[in-house]
Amino acid sequence: MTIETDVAGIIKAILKHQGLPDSDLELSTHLYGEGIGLDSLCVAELSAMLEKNFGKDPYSAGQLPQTVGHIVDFYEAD
Amino acid sequence: MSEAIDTGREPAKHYDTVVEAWGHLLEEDLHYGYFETGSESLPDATDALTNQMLQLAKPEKGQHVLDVGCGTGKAACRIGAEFGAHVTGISPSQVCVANANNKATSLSLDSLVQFRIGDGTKPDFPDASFDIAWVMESSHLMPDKPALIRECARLLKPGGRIVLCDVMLDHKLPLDEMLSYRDDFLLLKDVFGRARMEPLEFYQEQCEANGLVAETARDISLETQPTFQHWGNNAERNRSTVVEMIGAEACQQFADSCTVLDRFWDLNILGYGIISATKPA
Repeated sequence: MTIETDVAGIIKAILKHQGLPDSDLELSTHLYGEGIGLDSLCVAELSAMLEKNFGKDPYSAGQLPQTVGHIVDFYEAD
Repeated sequence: MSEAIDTGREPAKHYDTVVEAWGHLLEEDLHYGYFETGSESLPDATDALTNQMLQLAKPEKGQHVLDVGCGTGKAACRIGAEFGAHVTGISPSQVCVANANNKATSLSLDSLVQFRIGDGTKPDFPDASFDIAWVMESSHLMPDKPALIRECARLLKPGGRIVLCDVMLDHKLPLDEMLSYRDDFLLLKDVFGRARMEPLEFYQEQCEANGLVAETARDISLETQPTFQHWGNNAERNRSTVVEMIGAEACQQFADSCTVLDRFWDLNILGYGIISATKPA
């Protein structure tokens, strides 16, 4: 499992849980609005699940990733 | 990015799972209380909140009322019994509808008050079917609130009135502020299911956008805040019963959520509002 696979899996789980349409996720996929449409609680869930999976998350670190790739970059920077 | 707050699970399923336990936690009405003095009992306060809605709705004998998100059916039965109005209550929860119909029957009100499965954002009624659209503490469970208000406006007869009360955002929360309360909002999601709150101004704007003339828009956060002390006390007093129904973790989460809500009220993150608007004749 790569970081990208793990991140995509978490996002897909949130989409499913929130009843949002499933989406093919690429590094360039935008997370909000016209992208896959994560709203504020989805972001809160994403933050919590990323932290649980990786021990830290970009949102709690003060970042606002705009794409799937931005999240992956956060973890690959280590 | 700033927006409304959306929490959790699909509302009907959540309701069906917790409704029995919630009777021991929130008591019969399953909604907030309105405390004028702060010393009222919770049942008196929940009646008082219904009274606030009734004062705005002004139901009359023979009128037709749509109760959107009818909960236990108690408010609908009051409207039928006290005012002689016909009430149709809708809810997506089969448990809720069954219990509410049983209540109406037990009170010999079933000729005036009926409940059925329905979705407030896609109600299956002709235009101009109702004199009053009653939306009591259910709109936070409907993500598509523009559709809710649009449909209420469609269903109202000319001269009809919508009355709505609910948990509301004090202001649109920027994402960074929301994330600072991440775990609190996730707790509320786990306890109360899917909920999406909006500010009072949002409801006013939606009413106006659908041709409704706003009459009343009041922030009653102060009057509703004592509710949490009562809920917390109920969680403690009825712990063994509630634990048997929903488990120790869920019971503790409920107790913790009361603390969170009380703090959110203090911090002006969440609050409670009541609004009424009429459809021009």
